[in-house]
Amino acid sequence: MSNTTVYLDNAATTPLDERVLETMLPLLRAGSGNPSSLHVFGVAASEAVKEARVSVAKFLGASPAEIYFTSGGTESDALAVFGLARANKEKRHIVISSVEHAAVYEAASRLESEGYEISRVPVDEHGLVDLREFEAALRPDTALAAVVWANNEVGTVQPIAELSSICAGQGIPFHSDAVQAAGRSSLKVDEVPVSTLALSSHKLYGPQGVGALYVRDGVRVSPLQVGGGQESGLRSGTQNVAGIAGFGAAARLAGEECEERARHEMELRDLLIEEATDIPGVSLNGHPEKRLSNNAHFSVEGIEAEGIVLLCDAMGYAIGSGSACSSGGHKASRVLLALGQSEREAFSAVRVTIGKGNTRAEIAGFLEVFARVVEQLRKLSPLQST
Amino acid sequence: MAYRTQVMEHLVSPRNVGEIVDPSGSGESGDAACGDIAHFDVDISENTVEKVRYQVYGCAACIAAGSALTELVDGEHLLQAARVSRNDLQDSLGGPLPEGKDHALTLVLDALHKAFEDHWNHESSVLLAGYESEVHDG
Repeated sequence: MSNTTVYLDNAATTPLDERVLETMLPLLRAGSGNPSSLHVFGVAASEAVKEARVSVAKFLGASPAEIYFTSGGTESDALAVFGLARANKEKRHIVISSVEHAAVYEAASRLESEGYEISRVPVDEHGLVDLREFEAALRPDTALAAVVWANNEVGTVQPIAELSSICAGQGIPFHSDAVQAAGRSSLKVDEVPVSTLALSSHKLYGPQGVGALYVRDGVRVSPLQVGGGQESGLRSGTQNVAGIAGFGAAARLAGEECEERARHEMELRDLLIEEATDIPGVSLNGHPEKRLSNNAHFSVEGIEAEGIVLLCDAMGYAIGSGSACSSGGHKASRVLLALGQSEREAFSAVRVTIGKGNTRAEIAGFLEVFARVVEQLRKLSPLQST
Repeated sequence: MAYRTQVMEHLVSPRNVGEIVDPSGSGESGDAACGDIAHFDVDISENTVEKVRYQVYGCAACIAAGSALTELVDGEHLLQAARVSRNDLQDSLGGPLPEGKDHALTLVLDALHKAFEDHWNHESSVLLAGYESEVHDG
């Protein structure tokens, strides 16, 4: 991300914060020891991991013993879904929302192929889970329920406090993927009774390849990988010391700067949404209010997203596309279909996600380019409505 | 997956975009599974492609393939234009498209061939009308 292209795809990954890099460099340069070793190198590495665990715990309002480091959001989600299911073997039913991140959705589908019954709770046209429908899906044999804190595509923020309280009242473990919400919504686990919660470092201006699973004290989770018994036996494997230290620094900074970042992102997001939806045929996806502070997700009538993304890139602005035309044909976004969109609408979706480093001038520049690109591609489209 | 420079160049500056008012032939093709649509208009005079215009709803590969195809046939003799193959089109885009994008070549070639067919159908009905009036008059 060092070229001149303006980066507006912060939901995909965020640039590494300089201050995070500074924390990591000494550990990378010196070659950190193995935290399990008894000698001085091992102790230094162990101290770095310990410090990061405290930072991540503080970020969540958790105790350090409830934080387990993983390789990222996907592993954290897998550990929660498979781990909670296998720790409650007598129960064979799982409840998830229809707008889960693929890491949770596909993990549940895998368990379905192993004989579990999965209830996928639908959402409204804004992507919001209905509390009554969610509660109605819960059963005495429900092993776990999972709802993403904020959707990674359209950015809709779910009523996690209420959903997790319903589950807590019935003694059902509740998992939430908070990868996109981290640093934007308050994720205080001392206020919201989630059982497990997934985080990823690289969505918080930390390094890629590191994440964490919060596991509330007393909640049983079976490990996915066994071996040396690291991370209190829940996640064996030598820890990524420099990565974890970076994640710790990123979480600390996110905690300190959360309000300021969210305010800045929201200001730019609202400008973006207001101006972009003035372009004929451009509409906002997701919830108008209950959405991530940095997320703007648009459908552009009559045009496929791939052309928009590539042309914007060629003109200096990196944004994300909603669905992919990939090997084996088109793949419409499952999330957009769950919101009731048609396949064609789903193929016309682009996601613009703001970061703490973006400026008003960059958003203004993007809006100009976006309008031009839409106009250019509309001329090309035999479906043009104007 | 990354597109070649040639594909990006056509995407950024697509050639011969639009429609022809009262074309001598029009053709449209669409891949139901993929949802892509290509539309070609041609003006053919004395068996030469005098003008070609196209529109595409689809991914970047379809847009670029349509643009490249118009360049390959513009000004060509009709028989030469009709012989442009998938390989010719692929070569003009700098080589094979990324995996899963080959449908773009078929999509635009189908639409162009349908436009030629439409032209021939018009021509033959004109010829036939002329022949019938000759027979009738005779």
